Amino acid sequence: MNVTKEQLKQQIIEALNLEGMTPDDIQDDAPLFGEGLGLDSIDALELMMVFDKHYGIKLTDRNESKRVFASVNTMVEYIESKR
Amino acid sequence: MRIAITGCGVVSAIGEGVKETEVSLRNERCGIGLAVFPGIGEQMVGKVNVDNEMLAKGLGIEGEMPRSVLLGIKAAREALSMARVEDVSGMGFVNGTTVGGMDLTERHYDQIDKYKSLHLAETCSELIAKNTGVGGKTVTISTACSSALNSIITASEMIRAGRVSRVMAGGTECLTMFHQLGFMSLGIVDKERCRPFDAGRNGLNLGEGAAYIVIETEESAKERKAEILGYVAGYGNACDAYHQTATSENGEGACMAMLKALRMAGVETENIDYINAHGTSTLDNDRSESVAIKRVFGEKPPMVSSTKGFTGHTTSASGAIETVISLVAMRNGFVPGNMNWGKSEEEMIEPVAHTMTRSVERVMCNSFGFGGNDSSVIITMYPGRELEPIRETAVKEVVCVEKKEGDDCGKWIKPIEARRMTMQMRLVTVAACEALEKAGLEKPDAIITTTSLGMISNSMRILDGIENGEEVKPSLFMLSTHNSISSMLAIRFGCHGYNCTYCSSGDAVEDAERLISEGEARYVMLVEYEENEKIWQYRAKTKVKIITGQ
Repeated sequence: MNVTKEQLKQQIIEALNLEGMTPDDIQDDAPLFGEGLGLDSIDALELMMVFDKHYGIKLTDRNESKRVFASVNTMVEYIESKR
Repeated sequence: MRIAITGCGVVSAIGEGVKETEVSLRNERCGIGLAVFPGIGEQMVGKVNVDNEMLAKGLGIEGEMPRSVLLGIKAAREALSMARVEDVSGMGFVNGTTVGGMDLTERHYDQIDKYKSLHLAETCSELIAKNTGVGGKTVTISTACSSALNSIITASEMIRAGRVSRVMAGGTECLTMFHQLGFMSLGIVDKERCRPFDAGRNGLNLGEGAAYIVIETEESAKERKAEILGYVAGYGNACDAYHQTATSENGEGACMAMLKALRMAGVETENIDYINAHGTSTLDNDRSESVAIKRVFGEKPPMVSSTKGFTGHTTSASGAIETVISLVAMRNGFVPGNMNWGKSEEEMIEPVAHTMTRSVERVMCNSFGFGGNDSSVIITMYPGRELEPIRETAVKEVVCVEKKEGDDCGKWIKPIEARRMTMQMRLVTVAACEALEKAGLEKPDAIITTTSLGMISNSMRILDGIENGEEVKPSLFMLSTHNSISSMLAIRFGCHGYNCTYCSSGDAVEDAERLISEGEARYVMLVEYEENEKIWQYRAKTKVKIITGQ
């Protein structure tokens, strides 16, 4: 399975219930947390569930997840590295 | 006037009753161990070691009852028998609970119609009142993990206002799959025994139990020659107004609650002998509470311990269980140890690791809940400063805004904010924003919500998920407690003032009137919130009022 940014963005939108948003609204390198999209620690937990469900990746370390979930680019890089 | 404590009762993982609790605390007997949850296996919890059947039999109760009711009746009967009140028919009752009858609801989910009448938090309170003979006004508070301490605060306010002469106050909560899986979804449950304030802490263990105290005016206690066990000397309720589940780094809400309690009691920080901390053993709470304690007490705070290493985190009962533990410790001259603590973390407080003999006259008891519902109560062994009675003054409505499905929400809610908001939450947000705009206010001084079913749509989605073997979504669990509305609005408006959630109508209005009368708040936001619900047949209701003094 090849992960596309488009797919991942769609999964993020569904998991976080970002209604009215399309994959085009999320920039590949824009920060997802804080000043960027404005996600918080609970969204990070939801993203961990996305990783587990769709990619079989279990993230548990809070600091690591912060780094991995920085942007769509960093998420894709991490998924690719776990192949 | 002074508020005297004349009775107390408790049941938790470390004992059925005050005596057993005292022995466990003294001997450092931890109540936390492995217990099996259907479907999720063994979990580390503070379980009360008696099953429902035995509990009911011991209490002489027929028929199936929620476990929180059975635990509640047990603790309440002990408190009442200790208080030796001849006629309890006029006694008030303030009860804190979040799960209510959730244990029966989740166990019999396929026959929910049969058990639905036992689900509500207020039903749980009524059943405890009925089975203890307490026949006065019954009030139910649901502010998540601070419910029981807020019950003690509201009960004290009722006495100060002369509304009732004697009140039983506290809370009850039983273990449920709902809570266990919900807290696990937040990633804050430790598989090992919890280690509050320890550098290696890794989350909480849930617990269960109930505790109540009987309070009355000192005058009334003396008149009937009752033994006075201690005094409620001061209390504070504030809102962290930061996040629904995370605590602010500087512990603002906790700090404000402690300062309010100290000011009311007229006690200097150096005169507090012991702090029974909230200390859940999560990374965030213990750090934030440490910061808050140091902000209030300086670099050398009094002796501190969290007793959750004994009982587990008993959520809505914890404030009362820990008040009774503090009372027991004070009366018997010891400070309970902070179980499993061994390694200090930079900038954090160092708790008392082991139970030690010590004269204790004044205790501060902290209890913090989801949504930043932070409260602190000071109990003392001997009479301290007299409290001002509350002389209720007339209030007037400044503005009232009602919303119904289909009303426009666009202007006030950004798309990113909307991601976790049910339709009803959006409507209540818009109503609150419009009410403030009409009143010409930036924010209210206090927010009080009335809701019977609370966030029932989110709770039902979680229950449906559990039924289908799905993982609990953390974003749903964080918004499943009754107090989600009051705290959501506090976060939005940056309102650090008094914040509470009642389950039955009328109680919130009385509370607001007291706050205005005593000058704690000038403008109080009163919210009525109910979702459309088919099973319990509730109609949606979204009303926001702002009231002030005349």
